[in-house]
Formats: sequence, C-alpha cells, structure tokens
Amino acid sequence: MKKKGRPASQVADKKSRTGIPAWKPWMEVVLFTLFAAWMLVGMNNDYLFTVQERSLFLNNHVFFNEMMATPAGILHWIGCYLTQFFFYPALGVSLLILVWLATYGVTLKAFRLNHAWSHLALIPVTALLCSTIDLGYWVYLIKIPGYWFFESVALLLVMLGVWLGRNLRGAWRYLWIAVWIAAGYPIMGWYALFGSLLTALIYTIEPEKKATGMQRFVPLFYTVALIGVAPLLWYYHYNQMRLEDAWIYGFPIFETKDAVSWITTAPFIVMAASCLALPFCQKWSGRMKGVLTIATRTVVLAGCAFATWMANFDDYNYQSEMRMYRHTEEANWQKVLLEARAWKETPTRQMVILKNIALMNLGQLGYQMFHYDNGGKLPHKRDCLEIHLAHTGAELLYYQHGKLNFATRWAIENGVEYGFDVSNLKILIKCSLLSGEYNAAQKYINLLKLTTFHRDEAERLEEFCHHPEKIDQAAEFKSVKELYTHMDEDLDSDNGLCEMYLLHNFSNTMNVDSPLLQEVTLNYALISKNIQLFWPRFFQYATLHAGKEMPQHYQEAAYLYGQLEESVNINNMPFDRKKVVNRYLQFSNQVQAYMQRGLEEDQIAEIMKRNFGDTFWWFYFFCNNVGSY
Amino acid sequence: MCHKRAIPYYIYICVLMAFASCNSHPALPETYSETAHRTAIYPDYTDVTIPCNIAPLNFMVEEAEECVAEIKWNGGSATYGDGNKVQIPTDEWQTMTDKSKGGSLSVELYTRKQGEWLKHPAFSIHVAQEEIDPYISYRVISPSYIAYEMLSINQRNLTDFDETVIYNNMLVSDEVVGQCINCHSYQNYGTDNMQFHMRQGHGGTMIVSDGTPRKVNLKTPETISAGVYPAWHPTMKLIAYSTNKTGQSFHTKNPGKIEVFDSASDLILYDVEKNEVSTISAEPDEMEIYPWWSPDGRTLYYASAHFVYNDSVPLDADIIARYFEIKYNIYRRTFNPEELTFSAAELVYDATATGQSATLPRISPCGRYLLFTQGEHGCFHIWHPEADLYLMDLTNGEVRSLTKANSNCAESYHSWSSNGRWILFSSRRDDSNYTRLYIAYFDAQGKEHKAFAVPQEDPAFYHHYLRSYNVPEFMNEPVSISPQEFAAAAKKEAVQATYKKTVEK
Repeated sequence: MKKKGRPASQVADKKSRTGIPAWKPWMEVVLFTLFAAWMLVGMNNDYLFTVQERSLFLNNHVFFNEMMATPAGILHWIGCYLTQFFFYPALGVSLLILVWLATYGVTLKAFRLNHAWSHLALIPVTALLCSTIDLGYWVYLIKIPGYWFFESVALLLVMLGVWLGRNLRGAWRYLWIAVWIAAGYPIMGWYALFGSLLTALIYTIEPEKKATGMQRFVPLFYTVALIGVAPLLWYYHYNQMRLEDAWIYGFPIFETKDAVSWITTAPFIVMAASCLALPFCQKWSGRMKGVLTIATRTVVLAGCAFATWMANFDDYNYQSEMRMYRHTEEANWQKVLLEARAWKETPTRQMVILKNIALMNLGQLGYQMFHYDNGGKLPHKRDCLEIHLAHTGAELLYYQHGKLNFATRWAIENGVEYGFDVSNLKILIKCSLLSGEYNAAQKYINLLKLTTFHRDEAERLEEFCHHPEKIDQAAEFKSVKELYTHMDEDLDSDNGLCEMYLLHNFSNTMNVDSPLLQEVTLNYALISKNIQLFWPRFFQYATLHAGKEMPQHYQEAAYLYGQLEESVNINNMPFDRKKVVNRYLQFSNQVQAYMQRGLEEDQIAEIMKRNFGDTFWWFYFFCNNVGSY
Repeated sequence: MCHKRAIPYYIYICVLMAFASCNSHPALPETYSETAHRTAIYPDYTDVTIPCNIAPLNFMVEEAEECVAEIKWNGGSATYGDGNKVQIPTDEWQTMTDKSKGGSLSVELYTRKQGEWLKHPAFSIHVAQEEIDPYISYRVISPSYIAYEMLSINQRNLTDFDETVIYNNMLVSDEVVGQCINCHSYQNYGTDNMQFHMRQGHGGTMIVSDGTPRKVNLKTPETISAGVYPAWHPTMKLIAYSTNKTGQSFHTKNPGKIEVFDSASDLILYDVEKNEVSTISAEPDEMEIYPWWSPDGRTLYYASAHFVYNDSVPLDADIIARYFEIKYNIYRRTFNPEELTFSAAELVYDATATGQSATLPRISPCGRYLLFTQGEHGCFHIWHPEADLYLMDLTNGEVRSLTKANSNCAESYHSWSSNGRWILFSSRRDDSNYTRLYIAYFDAQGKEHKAFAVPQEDPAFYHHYLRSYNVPEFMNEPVSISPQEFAAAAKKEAVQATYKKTVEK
C-alpha cells in the first residue's frame, strides 16, 4: 500500500524485487570500501604520508584566524586537522572512507534513492576518491589548505543540508534556502551555493501540491537570485577574496600561470554534475526496471572503478622519490640506498642527488656513486604543471649540502607561496639550529609542537636548542655541519635551478680544510665532466688522503682524462691495474668494436651498460641529456 | 520534564562561568618562596615607559607552569593570570594607566615552576603623561625572498587590539598575475591624503587625495621607475619619491641571508593636483633614496650613495661583487614651495667617513632631531643584523646610537609620533628573522627609553605568527576607505603622470 508522501522510486523498488537479483547498498559499501582502501593504502601509502608532511595544522588561534580569513575557512581548518591523520596512512584513510560512506548514506536519504539505484550515490564519492589520488606533483604546489578532507567534508555537509531541506514545507523551504546561502557561505563557500541549488532543484522537480505551472520554478529563481547576491555581500566582509571568485570560492581549480589542469579539476566537475543529476535520476529511476537497472548499475560501478584506476597518479619515480625524501630526512642512509638499488626505471635527478647524499654520508661516493643509475628522467607529467626541484626537495637538498641559507630560503619561499607545512618547518628548525639562530629554531619548534603527530620530533629537536653542544655530537648533523662550517660566504642566486646551482657552486669550490667538502667538490667536478675542474680537486683529494687508497671512481676519471688529454702525466700514478687499467682497455676496445660495426650510440650505451654501467667511463660517454629541472 | 527544567540552571551556570572567565582575578598563592631572580617575561615589558593610552601589555612567563601577576597602581591593585599568561581586560588596564600617568605600575610576579610557587622581585611599568597617536599602519608580509602570496597593509588601533585591513593584494591577485604592495605614506599623520604602491598585476600608485582614491602611473620615459619610497609634503599636495632599480641576491652563509640593493636611484617630486612628475635629484654616480620632509616642509632630507661603476664589468655583476662598498650618507636640499624647486645638496651626516651607511632619515616633529638607521653597508638595513637606530641633534650635529632602544639584531624602519614623544620602529630582536614592531619613549630631554613590543591580546601571538611587520607609520585617524574600494580603484586603468622638466636652483 502506497503511503502518503512516499516517492514513486521506493515503490518501484518493491516492484522490482521479483525479477532482479537482490542487491543491497551494503554490497556497494563493502566493494567501495575495499576498493578505496586498496587504492589509497595499497597504492598510495607513501603519497599519503607525504600529504601530511606537506600540510599543516596548528592547534592555536593564530592558525584558526588565518583559516577563517576566507570563506569556507572552518572547512579548511577541519580539513587541515583531519589531514594530519595521514601520518598513519591507514588511520587517515579510515577517516576519509568514513566520511565518504557517511556521504553516500546521506545522499541516499537526501535524494531518496532506492536500493536499485543506490549505486548512483557512489559517483560523487568516487569522484572524491579520484580527486585524492590524481594530484601527482600538485601535492607540492596545492594552495587549498586541508584539501584532502576539505572537499569530502564539504560534500557531506551539502548532502546533510539537502536531506534536511527537502523535508521542509512551505515558507520553511524559502527560509532554509536563505539561511543556507547566507550563513552557509562563510562555512562552506561554493558548496553552500551548490547545496542550496540542489535543494531548489528538488523543490522544483518535486513541487508542493499547491504549486502549479511556473510556480514550481519559484524556489529555483529565488535560490538563483540569492546565489547572485549573497557572495557579493560577503565579498565586503572578507578582505582577501577577488570579486570574480566570490561565486566559486571553495571549488578547487588547479591553475598554473599558463593553464588550468582539467585532469585534476575534472573530478569536481563530475561530482557536481552527478549531484545535479541525482534529483532527476531519483524521479526517473522509478520508471526504469529490470535489465536496464542492472545494466546501469554495472556501467556505473565499472565506470567508477575504471575512472579511479585511470585517475590514480601511478608513477614509480613519484613514489620512490617520496620514500627517499623521507629516509633522507630521517638520516637513514641505508634505506635510501636500498631504495636506489630497487629503482625500476631511470630516476629523477632528485632521486640521484638523494642517493649521492646517502653515499656521501656513508663515505662511499668515490666507490659506489656510479654503481647506481645517474641518469635523469623528468618527473612524470600529465597536465600543465611544470615541476621543479625547487618545489619538490630543494630545501632538503640544500640542507644536506650545508647550504643552510638557501635551504631556509626555499623552505620559506615554498611556505609563503604554497603554505607552511611540517616538512619545511622541520628544515627551518634544523637550519636555524645549525646556523646558531636558536631563537628562530625555538619559534619553529614551538609551532611544530602545536601539531598532533610531530610533537615528539619537535621535543627531540628542542633538546638541541636548549643544549647546542649536543649538535656537534649528533650523527644526523655531522656532515651538514662540516659542509656549512667550511664553505665560503658568497652572494649568489640559484635562479630557481637547484641542481645547476649545486653543480656549478661545488664544482667551482676549492677547499682544503674539510675532507668532506673537498670530496663533494670533486664529486661535482666529476658530474660536470669538466676535466679542468677535475684535476685540481683530484690532486687535493690525494693530498688530503695521503697514504690511503684512491677510490675507484676517482681513479677511473683520472685514467680516462689522462688518456683523453695529456695535460697531466698519469704514467706514474698507481692505478689499480685490474679494476681500472685493464678494464678501461676492455671498455675502450669494446666501444670501438661496436662503433666499427656501425651501431648507434644509444645501442652501444645499452650494451656497454651491462658490463660497464658501474663506471665513470660509461657515465662520461653515455649518460647524456640528463633531465635537470 | 527533567531536562527542560534544568535548562535555566545550565544557562545560569554558563553565564556565571562566562562572567568569571571575563573577570578572573586569581588569588595570590598562599605559600611561596621569595627569590631574587627576575623571571623572563615575553614580550619583555619590564621597566619600560608606555603611553597612558596604550592597549594592555599582556605578557607570558614561558618557563612557568602558571603565573599570577599582582599589579599595583596609585590607589589600587588587582591580580591577573591564566596559565602562564597574564591578560588584562582593556577597561581595567585603562583605569590603572589613567591613574598612573606620570607614575608607575608595579608588577609583582608569582610563578609556579615544578609545582613550587616563587615570588619574583617586582618590576615597573612607567606610564608617561604623553599619549601616543591612536593608530599605526604597517605592511604584513612573510619574510619572503622572491615569492610572495598574501600581502596586506593593515591598521591597528593602539589603544586596543583592533586590527583591520586597509588593502590586501589578494583582492585583485590571481594565479596568473600576482600583485605586490608596498610603501604606504600619509600626509602629516592624516589619512585623507595618503598613498601606497602596487607592482605587477594592476600595478600603479594609489593616490588618495581628499579621501578619493585614484591609481596613477608615475613611470615616465625620463625616470628610472615609478615612485618607490614616498614622502608626502606635510602641507602641500606634493609627494617626494625615490625611483629605484632594485635587485636582490642571496648570502650563502651570512646570517643576513638576503642583500637587497639598488643599481640606480634618483629622486622625483610628484604634484598630485597637476599629475606631474619632475626630477629632484638625478646626479651621476649618486644613488639617492628615502626622501623625507622636515616638519615645516621647507627641507627635503634623503640618503645617497656615491658609487662609480666599473665599466669593464656588467652592471649587475659589478654591484654584486662590490655590494659592501655601497654606503649612504644623509643629505638635504632646501625646498622653495612657491617655485617647487630645490637647492643643491648639502651633506648632513657623513656616515661613510666612519665606514657606515645611513638611511631612512626622519626628522622629529619639533625639527631638532634626525633619526636614521645605520648599518655597515647598503640601503636595506632590515636584512643587516648590525643595523641600529641613530639620532643626530641637528642643533649641534652630535650623533649617537639609541642604545636603550636598539638590540643586537636589525633595527630599521622608524617613524615619530605626532607629538615627538614616541618612536615606532621595526626590529628583529625576537628571533632574528621575523620583524616586529617596537615603541620607544623619547623624553623631553632627548633621551630614549627601553623599547617595548606593540602589545597583542595573546602574548604568544608573535611566537606563532609567521609574518613580518614593516613600514610602520603613525596615523591620527584610521583609513576610512574600504579595501574593496581600493580594489575597485586598483582595477581601473592607471592615469599616466606627465613629466615636467625642472631647473635646479
């Protein structure tokens, strides 16, 4: 028996039971939960950890007030708070999935979707899942505080608002729309406008009985009019919002100076479009039966899975880079090298430099540097985003090279432009500690202590601040301190090109006070493949390490350069006959043989890599076109 | 029903609690040990001299678990303390400062450390008879290098904690073109005639004349740049500017971190009503900067560095290699307000004679004192840790450091209050990286007193705030034009100023 006010769709659900296999929303819930958990924890664990490192929540009112300076500020604040939980990726993911499941459940209620059509409610949350894992390198450049929860919590609130609104009658409906737009805008920004529009759409599609003809459109016109006016009024309240953005504030648009990234913006367009379609689906779903319902469900579920799979920024280097960054931050050099040994493809330059930093700290640069791939693949790119080392790791690379001022500079540059985060706060603390700016260090420590999961690290670093004498004893600071102490003061700029600066600066530095700094200069002279820069640093190295074995890679370089140019007489140098002299002869002969056979350089490089890829010679002749960025 | 009946009680309890929290006067600890050790408070307000109309000097004792301060004044006393913070309601503070004009507040501090209460020796807060101008404005900026995102010029009511935005660059900035804003200036402490500059997106100089904003383009083919460092004439609708070609480079190790330098600079005069620019000073091998009018408007002070480029080296490379050689002296030119002409330059202070560089000349309202910043080189002293405030007595030419106001970190941009009794300046003494605003009393005998940080409602605010304050200026009234009105004016096409050739007399 049809009850008063019960939608046709629910009646249709009952009717459909006879011919269609029983399908319950909980099945979708389970499927979605497992799929989302796999995509997030299974495939994006390192990314999610990086997310919280590149985000910040401070438990103080300065942070709260800064968040509240724009529309949707409270949602940003909540988003930042929840994003912290990715410190334990599984915990963060659990919270995120809970929000999505709640959204799914409320969507069913809000749009009164019957069991046969419940899968439609998965589309918006799947769009959110896509938006979480499709970011790629935007994770370093995103300007939306708390993005990873912001959008999800916002959609949940939208659905709650629609659910509440649709149950109202008469003048309450108009009051609700007005309140939602006027009071919801500062809380939810664009989402408040969107939610009110959704509600108005429902009011129009399911008008009250007394509404006839054009009267049914009155709520819609009323809502559109309020949407037109309310953001304009709020514009005069907020003092850091463009008038042009007033109607879309909170809608994520990924924009660079040159273009909009539609790939990363698309999930939100899909989310919005699918939500707008739901009132119609709800109306029409009652008319669909049997096979059509099954087909729709199959298409939607498969489509959601496929879209998620395609949206996922699945790039080996992207994830490996994050793991190496984390291990380097923790000064866990063995893990860095373990990661380097497992490289599946040509690494990015950041990965190569991190590998060299690990070798430097282990005193193995001269022995193992060329045992690893030293190429340079540009970061995977699939939209308009131009990524630079300055964004992804310059502060850590400079810090590890003892360039504390430059590390500080990039930590602050990126903090200013993209928001301060845990990662750059930690670098700022360490730079301040090592440069003796203890008051500055304490300031950053105080901030880090206000986070939920980094308080222990802050307190650990605070010990150094209170007892600076411990800095000299700490292994984690040893090489950085030595490089910093012995390098020269200079007035310089990297022009945003971190690696080129390091290469140019260190390969042109001469230092005899610090064996470590001297070796780094020799290392960069090798990378620069500049014979004139190499020899003085090579001889310096020999002098500083008199009586010790000359590492193999330095011997390789000296032997090669001695052969290529006769400016330095190498006849009396005690080269390792087996590892260097004989092997070079083999290398040289084989290359000539392949050349005589007419093989292309790329082909020779590939063949020679098998036996000689661990030598400076291979690097010198065949490692070209390195993608520095 | 039970729950409904309880509602009034809940409301009553809430009101009581709210009332209690607003007016908390904690009891002094019953048992404590007395110590001769003065515990550090933040900000350091011990033994400072303050204006009688300043906002409450809230402070905290960082090393204490809890603290209670008993403040005594002429005819009364009260206790304050919440955790390790002492925050005083504005009305109660006003009562005690009103009654202590020309006298002192005595603050007895009790702290709890490791469970034990200690009573520390009392410190004083001297309350001057003289008031301070009720408003200040400043730019709020991250201590940025090249990148910038949100910048705003804010105004603060010094008698309470109210802070509002005058203009925020995010009102017109987008991802494609950002906007940098800088150097606001007022005519004689009023806000009806004021200006600030905007660079890049929607660039131009925002001139407010008789309360009406208008964007102008002061860059002409004859000048180096648009107006950069401004100085409104105290009575006429004239603004002196320096025009600058500014660059920056980065220290690899020096704690100063950044070197901001000019490779060329001149002085221009902008006639607001005629929309005309003319040259004040553009001498070869001289880099003129930071103009400032004497209070009577008949003399223009400025800093200038003599620098001869090495022709064999590219200009930028030359200036980077020799940045330490760029040192500024302070000069002045007499101004003829009828003909709008300037005399030849006269050296006022020869800083280079002592190997120093003097910038930002500011004349006290009485016309007797020249206040400036001095560092070892260059013109951008906020990045020079050794930079300090210096004072020249123009009646006898004596120069001295304002030792009681200075610190071992950079002190820089400063301004005089309209009554000449207060100096507002920026300092990096807190943590050497973030610029904070300090105020120092300058008494009738020409002596400076210990400086104090501009008070904040939450004493921990500066610890948590990741932005710097710069270009602090006093105002006797708030800017009444809304940020949105400024934004609307900024979006309009700039009115091009014309160049008028002048003859130096």
